[in-house]
Amino acid sequence: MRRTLVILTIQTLVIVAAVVLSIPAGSATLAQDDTSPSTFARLDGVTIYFTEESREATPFDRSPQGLSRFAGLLSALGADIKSLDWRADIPEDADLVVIAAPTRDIEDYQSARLWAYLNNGGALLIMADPILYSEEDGVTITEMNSRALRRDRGLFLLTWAGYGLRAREDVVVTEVGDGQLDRDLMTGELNTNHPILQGVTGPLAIFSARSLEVDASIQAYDAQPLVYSGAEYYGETLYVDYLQLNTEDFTPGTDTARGRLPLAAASENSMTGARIVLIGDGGIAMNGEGFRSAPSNSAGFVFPANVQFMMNTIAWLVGADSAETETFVFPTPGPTATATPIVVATPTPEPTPIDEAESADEASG
Amino acid sequence: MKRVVSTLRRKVPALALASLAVAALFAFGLVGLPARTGHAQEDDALHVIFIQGRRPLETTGISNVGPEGLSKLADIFRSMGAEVSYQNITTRLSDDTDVVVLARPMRTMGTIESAYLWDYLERGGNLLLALDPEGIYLRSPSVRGANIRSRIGRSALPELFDADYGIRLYDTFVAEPYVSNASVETINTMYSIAHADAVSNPITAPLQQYNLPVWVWGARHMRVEPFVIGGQAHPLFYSDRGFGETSPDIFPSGITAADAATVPVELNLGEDFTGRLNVGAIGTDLRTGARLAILGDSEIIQNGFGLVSSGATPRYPANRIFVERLAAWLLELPEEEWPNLPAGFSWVMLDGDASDWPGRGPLSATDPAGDSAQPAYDLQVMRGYADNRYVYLLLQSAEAPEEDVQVSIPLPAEGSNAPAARVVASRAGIVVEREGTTSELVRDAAMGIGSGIELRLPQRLFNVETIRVAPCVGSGPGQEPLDCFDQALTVPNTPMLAPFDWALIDQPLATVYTNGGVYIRTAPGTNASIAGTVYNGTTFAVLGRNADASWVEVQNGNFRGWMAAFLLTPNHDLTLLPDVSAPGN
Repeated sequence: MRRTLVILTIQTLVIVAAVVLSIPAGSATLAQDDTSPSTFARLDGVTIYFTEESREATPFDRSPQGLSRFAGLLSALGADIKSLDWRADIPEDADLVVIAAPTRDIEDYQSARLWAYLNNGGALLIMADPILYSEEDGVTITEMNSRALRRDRGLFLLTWAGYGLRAREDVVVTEVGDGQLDRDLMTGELNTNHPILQGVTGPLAIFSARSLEVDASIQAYDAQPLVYSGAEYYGETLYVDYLQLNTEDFTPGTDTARGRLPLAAASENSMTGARIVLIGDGGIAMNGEGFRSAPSNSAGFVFPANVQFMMNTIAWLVGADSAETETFVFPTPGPTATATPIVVATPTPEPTPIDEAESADEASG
Repeated sequence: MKRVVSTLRRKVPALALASLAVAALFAFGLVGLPARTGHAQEDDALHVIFIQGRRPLETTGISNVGPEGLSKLADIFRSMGAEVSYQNITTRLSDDTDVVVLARPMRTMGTIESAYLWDYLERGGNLLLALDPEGIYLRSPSVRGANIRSRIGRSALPELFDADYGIRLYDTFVAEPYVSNASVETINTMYSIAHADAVSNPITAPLQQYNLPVWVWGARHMRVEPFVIGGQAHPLFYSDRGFGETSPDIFPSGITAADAATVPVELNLGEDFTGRLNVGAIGTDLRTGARLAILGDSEIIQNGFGLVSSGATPRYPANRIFVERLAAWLLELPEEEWPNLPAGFSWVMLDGDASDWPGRGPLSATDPAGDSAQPAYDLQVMRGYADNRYVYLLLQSAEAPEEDVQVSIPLPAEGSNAPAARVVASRAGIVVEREGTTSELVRDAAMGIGSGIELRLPQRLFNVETIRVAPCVGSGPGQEPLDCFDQALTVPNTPMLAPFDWALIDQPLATVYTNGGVYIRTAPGTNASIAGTVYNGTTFAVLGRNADASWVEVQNGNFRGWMAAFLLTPNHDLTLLPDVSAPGN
């Protein structure tokens, strides 16, 4: 009995330790006892198309790199989730197109279709990841995601010209001593004037981000930063060199200047009604990062602010920000979120007392 | 009282129905009006925008009144009631634009330009694109000597046009036979002929009816799919004699020897394209109503090339007809408002029907009735006239001729010792028969059988000042004539012009490039007798050359003879032609 209890206690400690250690060091922390309800806009009748041709993260992928939780939540709110077929025009029922962390560039003909779709009042969510992970012979290779969504080519030429948004080709980092750079951050630097940030109370967890350029001057569009890094961050353009040499410094003229760097931004074109949200981090909605849960595959979101932010983003993009809402109460993340089975020790049968003499008699009998 | 109420009850629905019917009729009447699906529906004026500007694309435009300019195309649009203006492609194309024209981009068609055009099409706009082959070197001052580097093939447009319109652009140069690097050094030596496709469409219908090819000056090709989901595509013109060269390095990069081409013009199987190569196409997006026209050659619509004219008379009437009808189609004008065929040309459809014959000009001759036992071969009336290239004859018999009818026309003797010759025309073709020699096919002659017999014969066959003809008709090859005209008709010359010189079809070509007139001779060398005088701009089919290619044998509707090569601007490499001057050739 005592041994069983000891084992259970050790198991619990191991799980707790695993959850805590799995959070990037020095950054995100586990949300504790967040049992406050989350309210999201209903998305009934909303059709959301996810692109997949440029090796994006997909809504049907349940791996840590997938978006299945994000998409599942959208679906639970009433949205219809579909994959986009680029071979034809973007369907007329598309309320939103999501491009999530592509690793190959969006082709020009796809950009042209997107452009026409946006000019017809469409909505677009782009999540641009700065880092590309690949595996070769069992070795994980980290490189800059330089083949997708280049700052001065393709789709970003259009979003910059028409919506004042594009992402730089850098990684938002800060020095943590000994030449080490930290690219994961928790940030509470939020533009709470924007409808997307309404109700987002906690800090957002960002897992490697590209800094954004946002043209917030007076234009036919209204572009606004949504989320900033802390003032100590800069945009490292040679991050892969840092990974190889393990030391890197801010290089004036090459790296993005230090300061509150936009990490997410929204733009709305007043003439067409089109809306775009650009997020410099693809991981913000991935199962294994921004939508991480503990225990895994549960609704105990480790970063509930990320969930709120993403849901608000979708609601704003599809114009559902004033629609009917639904409230979820997510379980507190961590081992306690899952009902721990109460282990009841199986009673050991007590030996029936037997009279020794009698026994002996039987033996002898 | 009850009856009144009941009558009213019956009448109210009847009145309502009547009102509805009137409203429906009114609505139907409105719907029945020709509605334009383009952008400017709320504005009566038609708006045409030409994309021009040095950056980003460096297209040719309407501000250029020189040979490369599009000012004549702008005038065509204006003649149809459109307001014409230009802008650069740096902003979104306006909703009130009916047609956008983008011709000969010299620089890269990038993401933004492609997206702007596509967005415009997706809003139901109509677009004319004229795109030259990649790499052509233009010497003109307006581009300061530069190669075309539009990179269309790598842009978004081929993928989009293919998916939604069924038109796939390729980065090729349609190389006609006998073309070499030397003959693609300048745009002036890249001229050739493209045939109107047999797939019917309203734009090229007259070109099909009159068998009129169009002139092109170096073209790229495109694939046109007949079946497209949500779209429609029609091929306009094609070439099927050459191949689609895929290397842009066949062109020079400048005018010095160091700038010479690095790749020979040659067919590389597996890389280059063969077969019927479309050099123009139109498409419609059935969802948006957008109309797209793509020409694989911008010279077709340029002032000094396809639209060149002498006063009101176009030098290339087929090009003119095509461009005018294309403009009307893009403006979505009703067909009855489309321009007429240009005046002054022989618009005779060779279908055996007299209805399209000129009213007063052609003279006629008669033949007694009943001098043939078979009414279908009983010649009665002949009409005829000549334009600047051809003789046109219309023969009418007592009844409509049979399909196997054969017409023979004796030709004037070419000399005192020359063998007797005659033209023999039948469904199988038109040949010249000379006693003691094999028959020679006359490629540019044509025949039509309907209620009568129509013939088009090149004037060179007659080779006399005054052409007299006395045709006979028979029932087939080897048969004695069943009837002949007793008296010859003197064919009157008229000031009309042939809309095309059909002798040039499917041949390497050469154009006279000289001041004043030059001689065409009966044999190579200046000692040979003079067959005629020709003038600057006259184009010939080249049949062959002499040993050192200093003289070439040429032919058009008027003449066949030899000319000194230095007087000609050929569209091919003369040295690649067969030597036809040697005995036995």
